[in-house]
Amino acid sequence: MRLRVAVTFVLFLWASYLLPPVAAQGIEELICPCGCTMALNSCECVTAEEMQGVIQERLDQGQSSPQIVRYFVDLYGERVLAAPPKQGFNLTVWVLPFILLALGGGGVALLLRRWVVEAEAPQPGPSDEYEARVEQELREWDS
Amino acid sequence: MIDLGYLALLLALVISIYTALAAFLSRRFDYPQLLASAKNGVYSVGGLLTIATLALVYALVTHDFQVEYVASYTSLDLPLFYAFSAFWAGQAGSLLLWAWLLALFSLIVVLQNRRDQELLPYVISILMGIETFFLVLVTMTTNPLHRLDFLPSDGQGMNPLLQNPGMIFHPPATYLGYVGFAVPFAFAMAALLTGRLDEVWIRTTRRWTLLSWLFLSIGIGLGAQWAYVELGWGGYWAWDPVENASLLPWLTATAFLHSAMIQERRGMLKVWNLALVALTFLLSIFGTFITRSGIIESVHSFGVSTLGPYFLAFLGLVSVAFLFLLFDRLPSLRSENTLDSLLSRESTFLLNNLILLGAAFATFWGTIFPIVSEAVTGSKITVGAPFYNQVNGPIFLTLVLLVGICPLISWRRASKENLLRNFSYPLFASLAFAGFVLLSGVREWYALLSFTVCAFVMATILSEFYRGLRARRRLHGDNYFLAFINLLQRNRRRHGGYIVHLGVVLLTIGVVGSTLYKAEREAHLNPGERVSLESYSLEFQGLSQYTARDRMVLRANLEVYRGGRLLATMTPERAFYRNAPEPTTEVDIRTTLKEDLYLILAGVSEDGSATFKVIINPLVAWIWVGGMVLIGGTVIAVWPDPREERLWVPGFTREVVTSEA
Repeated sequence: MRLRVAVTFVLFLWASYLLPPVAAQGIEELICPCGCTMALNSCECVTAEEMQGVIQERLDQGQSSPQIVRYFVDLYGERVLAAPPKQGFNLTVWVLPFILLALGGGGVALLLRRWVVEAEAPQPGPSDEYEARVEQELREWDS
Repeated sequence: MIDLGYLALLLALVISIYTALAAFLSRRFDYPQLLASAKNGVYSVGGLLTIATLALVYALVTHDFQVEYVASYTSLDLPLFYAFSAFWAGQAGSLLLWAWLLALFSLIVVLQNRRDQELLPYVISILMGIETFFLVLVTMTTNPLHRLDFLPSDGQGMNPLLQNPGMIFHPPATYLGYVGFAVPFAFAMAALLTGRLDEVWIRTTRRWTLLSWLFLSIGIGLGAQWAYVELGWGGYWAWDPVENASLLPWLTATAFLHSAMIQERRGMLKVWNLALVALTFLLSIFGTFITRSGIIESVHSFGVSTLGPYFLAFLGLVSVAFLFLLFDRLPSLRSENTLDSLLSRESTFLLNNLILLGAAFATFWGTIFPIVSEAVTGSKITVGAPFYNQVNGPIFLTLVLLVGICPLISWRRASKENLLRNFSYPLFASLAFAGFVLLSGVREWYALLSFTVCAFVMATILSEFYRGLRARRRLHGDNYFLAFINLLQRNRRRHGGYIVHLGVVLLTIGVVGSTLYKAEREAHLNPGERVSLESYSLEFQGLSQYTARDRMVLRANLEVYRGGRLLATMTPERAFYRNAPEPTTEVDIRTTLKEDLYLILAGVSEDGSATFKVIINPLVAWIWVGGMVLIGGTVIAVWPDPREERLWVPGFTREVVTSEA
């Protein structure tokens, strides 16, 4: 039963992850390449200003935002994107946390199962006498 | 004074090496006199580093520019408290702070446990070993008391971004957290070395862990606050590598605080707890490493230095030592892991640990992935906010949901009736709330889901308190206020914990609101012109100018209207510091519980016109409120409880254990 819960839970995580990101896509995904790692419209350096100018120019020429993003990726490389595209080796960064969570969830489920089974098996517990003493002391403690 | 300080540093290094060895040998060969000597060593290191610290403080506040550090980070016109806070503005001072705090903590540990013969020797040895590492760095590579060959007439001054009250307390609070985790780690190592693997080490260090966690939380919160008011980009958290580095030990420590409870109650998860404590300590060193090595591009690049390899070597050494000991002790760590039921608090805690570790891994992985990717594919990439929002967002939301569910499921075995009773009211309340939110116009499923989860958790916590209050009123006839106080006192740990959870929910509401509903607009205005954003309308009145001690400031005056009514006058500024090449922005923020109006003066033109960025950040105030609630709850949980003290007098537990052995 626990295993099914774990699987459902991981699927839930997956589902929320596959849905489109909260942040808007397009030009907003560009960051300033000056080394500050900030979103383009947050940085105040000269590079950011120039880039804003180029974007405006290209928008005025009627280019779409994916086209503009492509232009900057060709110019600066993928590091100008706030997050790597979900393809090739970079897919690893997106997927690995969820894979590990799924594996971890499965592990925890198996572990729990084993522990419960062990608990149900008859065990050499503490003697009745000892248990009675503990109960007695607990009662005295509570009062 | 400076020479005295340097001498104290060198002596402290020598003594800490001696103390680490003496303490180790005293336990190994059962030689109590050596332990007494080691304790004196800890006291001496504490005293000597206090002298060195005072020497640097003295140099800073008296503007002794012959000291290179003072000349690099302060200037004559810097106010006294910023001159004082320059102590941690640079790398050398920060490392001295680390070393000094560790020395003080070690001293307190020795005083607290002075009668202990079992764990203490190894604890001293480990703490002084760590101390040695930091003192080697301080004395050999980045000496904060280094003298210049000449006497500059003035210093270079402090980075204007660091001249903010938040910066006075953010670094020391973060460091208190980082350094504090060394104590539970030292106890864990001592437990491994001695074979005393029961829960004594966890009990002894519970308060240390909680306090370190508290300080780290305060440090992170102050950092966020500083970023929000000072960096002027409209946000409080950028998923910058250095921010992530401070979040990592916080996440693993949170996991530990929960799983330690299982070991305390049930004697389970021994290996897991040891691993979590070691991981937390290693991650706090990793945090210092990321901040100081400049290995990953970050907005925090305050000092790129050559310390990277030292830290890496230290991290490697500690990991290997820990893993070796752990595997060596594995047979005696086998605990009786049994559960009465799948549906129990214990199993939900395991789930909570899994999610926290998952969040920590995602954060860690995202932080180091640029290096991994460059090594594999050869091209540089950035892993920024969109990644974390998308990957950590659902993970954290699940975690918040668990915060609501866990406390409702009883220890050992939860019955159906128990579940039904505990869940029905919060579930009903949160669904009603969801309906209300839907009716009020929120359509984004992500926001709906998040707010419903928050409402659910809030309802479970409140109903838990309500049940307690009602019981107390029935039994003792207290009024509500008295009942509340008594309830807190009856079980500080539990109710403090609930209050912390409440803080987390409030914080989540703030984060969700400001992430999903942020509105932004940029406008170039001539005096007299207006810009509107949502219900606000801002009229630019004009620019004024004034000069302060070390900067020239341009100030824009704007009148803020809503519905034709004047709400406020706001004055964002642009400051041109004498020692900074680029101007810095001083934002103006109008805060209400509903939303913040955040105003940035982005640029000014010769003709008196100006460019503004207007941002509306909904619900941000709840982040700070939630943070304060979290702090309050932790203080309640950590406050000494006489009942508990009586239960766990250290001498008492030891006697029991030795008589059993």
